[in-house]
Amino acid sequence: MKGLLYKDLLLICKQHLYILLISFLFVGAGAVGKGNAGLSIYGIYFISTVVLNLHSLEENYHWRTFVDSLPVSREDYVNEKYVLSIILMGVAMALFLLLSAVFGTFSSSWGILFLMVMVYLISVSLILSTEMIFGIQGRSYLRIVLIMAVVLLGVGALNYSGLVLEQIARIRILPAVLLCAGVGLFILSNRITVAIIKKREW
Amino acid sequence: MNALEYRHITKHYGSFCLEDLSLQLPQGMILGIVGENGAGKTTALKILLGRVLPDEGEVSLLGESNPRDNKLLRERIGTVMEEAGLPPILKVKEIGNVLKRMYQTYDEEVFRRFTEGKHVDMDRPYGELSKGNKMKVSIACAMSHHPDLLIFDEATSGLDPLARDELLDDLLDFTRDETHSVVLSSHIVSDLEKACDYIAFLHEGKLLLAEEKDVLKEQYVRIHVSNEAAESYKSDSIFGKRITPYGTDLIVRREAADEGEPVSIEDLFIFMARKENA
Repeated sequence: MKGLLYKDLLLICKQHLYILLISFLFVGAGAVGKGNAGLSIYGIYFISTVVLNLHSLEENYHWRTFVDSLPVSREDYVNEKYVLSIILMGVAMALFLLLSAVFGTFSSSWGILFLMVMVYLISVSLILSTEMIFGIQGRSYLRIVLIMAVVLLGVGALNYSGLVLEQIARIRILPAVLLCAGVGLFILSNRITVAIIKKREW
Repeated sequence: MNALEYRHITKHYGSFCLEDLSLQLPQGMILGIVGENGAGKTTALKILLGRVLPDEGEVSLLGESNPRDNKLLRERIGTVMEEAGLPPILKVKEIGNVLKRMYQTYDEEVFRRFTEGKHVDMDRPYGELSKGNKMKVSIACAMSHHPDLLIFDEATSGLDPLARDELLDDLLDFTRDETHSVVLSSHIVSDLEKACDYIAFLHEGKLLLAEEKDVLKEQYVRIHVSNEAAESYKSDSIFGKRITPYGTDLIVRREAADEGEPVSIEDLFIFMARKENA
């Protein structure tokens, strides 16, 4: 799996201008956003666009056919994408913390971080499983756009309706419960995707 | 031991059907699969690699009966398919670095011999290379981990005659080790004729013939006779027939003709496919 991860990280580095552009969106969000939730939207956007862009590239150059000649199982192939999304989530969180500190918008409640991770995990679970099972090009692309729209609208609604996200974060046990739900969905999404991809012919 | 074995493989794809394919290749030999576009060559190779599951029958590869998701087996196989599947924005040397992290037996020197040694610029992105150089990189990827079996699908089609000749020499060199085998599919029959020990003809999903090349070439001759004279040959001695305005071209069993020209594998395939179509 380390070879697959190395290749994806190499490709992300090759697209540094594109990544910088997305990061500027982060900065913009920090400047004009309303609290932590404003930044979290761009965190999801950051992970989604990088993952979707990588996957779209892979479909264009038929990477799956090459992977099937390598000493890598299909389970490894799927798992690598999930591991990559966790790494990207870490990067997004680090950027979030950095920008929150810079703009002085960081909430004293740690609950908000749990909630952010939950929202990231749910988004990544939906996006990864959909793009890997249905593909990203053609009509399938519409599905991705729809999922992204739903996720962004959902988080956006939370953000702009009086920072509800931060209110939820103040309820003690709830963020931890929601985080567990996010992790559960992430694992479920991974197992379903592995099961389906293992049966595919290409 | 056989390097590979197909046992009664059947696969349906809409209106296409690969029908009851049974074929084997002893270790140390090169098998050439000849067939027109859409004959089922790529499907047969995908089944061998476990990318496609057969509806019936089974395959065995280097003694393993389940090639699908078999990581250890893939360490021992090098493949070049029509769609290379390599990232176009990675430089050639970076592709080598990726493979280094994939294969336990990756050999940088071999990768460089098949890329740098064949005038491929290591610092150029793969997507910017010519078709021939892209193929050289794919071949380097297949060779770089010291495989026991090479599976090449139309690998020579993008190469110029000199590069094709070099590749075929490399394949012959590869099979000097008697544990090494090659499966080569192509519609450039002259390439297969030069390198292969065994030839298999696939036509519209059916295996028409699988035989040692030398046996095939010894068994048949090509003759040109008048249309009337052609009628005098027994039908079971005729392998193929083509009527032209100037007479009839026949491929017949050597014992049925007093004299005749040596037959080429291309002739054999074309005559046999025509006979099948008729």
